[in-house]
Amino acid sequence: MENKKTKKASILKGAILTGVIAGLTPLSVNSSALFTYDVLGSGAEVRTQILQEKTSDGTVYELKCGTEKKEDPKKKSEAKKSETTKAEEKGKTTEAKCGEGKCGEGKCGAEKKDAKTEKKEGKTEESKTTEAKCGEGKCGVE
Amino acid sequence: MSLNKETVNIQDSLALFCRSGIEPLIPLSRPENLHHYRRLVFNVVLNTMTQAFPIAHKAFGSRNFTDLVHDFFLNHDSQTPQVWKLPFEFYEYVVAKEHQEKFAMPFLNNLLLFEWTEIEVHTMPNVIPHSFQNEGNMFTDILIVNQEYKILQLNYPVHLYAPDKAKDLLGNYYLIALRNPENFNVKFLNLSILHVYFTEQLSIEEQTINEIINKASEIFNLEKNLLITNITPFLNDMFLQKLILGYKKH
Repeated sequence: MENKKTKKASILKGAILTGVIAGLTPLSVNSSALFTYDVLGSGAEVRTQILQEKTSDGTVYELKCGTEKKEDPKKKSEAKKSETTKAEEKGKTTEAKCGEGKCGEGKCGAEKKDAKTEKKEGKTEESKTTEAKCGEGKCGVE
Repeated sequence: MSLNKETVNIQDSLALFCRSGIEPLIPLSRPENLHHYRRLVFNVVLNTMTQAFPIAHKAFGSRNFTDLVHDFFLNHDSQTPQVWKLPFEFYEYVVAKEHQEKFAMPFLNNLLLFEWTEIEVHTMPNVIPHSFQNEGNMFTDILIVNQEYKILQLNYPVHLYAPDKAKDLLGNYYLIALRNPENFNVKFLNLSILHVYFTEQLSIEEQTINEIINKASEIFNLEKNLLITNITPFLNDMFLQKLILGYKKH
């Protein structure tokens, strides 16, 4: 193992110079905010927490330049459906990011659920760096 | 060993077909199966992005996210041969194309960066720390910090809330992604600017906590006693979280 000497760039250097910190001093802000920190947990835990949060106003972001399109009722019901399938959602969100173990035509003509189950089983936190892909799994269409 | 020119041309044509759908002018033994290559290669890219950016995927919706990945796949000449690094290029592409403005998602760059950072920290090169011991004085000895971390400054709390909530909370947020040197798991901590200051000071040069407290007291306009009282639990916790590994050996 190589001992890499990394020189980390300071996030705060600029902030101190530009007086951002000065703007946060207790003169203007309650100092308790300065002493508060949270251990959020692993990436999977953070993702699960965020993904389980319900979208408060049902905002759906559309890929239309500069505009936000109102969602149609059909999409809304789809969105609701996805919210209600929490168990499925939970399984997905706790997946590790780099756990790649995909091959085989998981979704080609088969039930979506089956493919997801395979996915869930194949991925663990430890499998982050393994790669075993051949591109099958979704058949190019949702 | 360089490839035969004809082989390179065939590879390029096939790659162009996979990205654009333009039929390649190359001899094919089974032309009817050609479309499978395009489908399979795109699936790899889409699956990589979906795994790397699950929160963004949800924010966009599956169809829109797929369209965005298609756009990236078609228009971006990937520089990395390693598929796990592709999400970073996707992030750079989205930033360069100013998609957060186009799609009225002001948090988008922050969100993609946050989601990518877990992969980046998890796969970062090992950094062997200075030798350290477990016994020492927290205020007067030099502390050895685990350098396997990355601090992000975000404008939206995409690490705390779902995107539609985070978008209304413009501010300064600090997040540290820390890799446990024993099991390589990445942990996230939401920090205040004061905690970031202490972490950076400990990392960039050898100095004691007492010295940092003196400087912080001036910069943040805080009484030393107040600082000591409030920073001590944080430092103790950072020992447990493996951000601080121990005390420098004399």
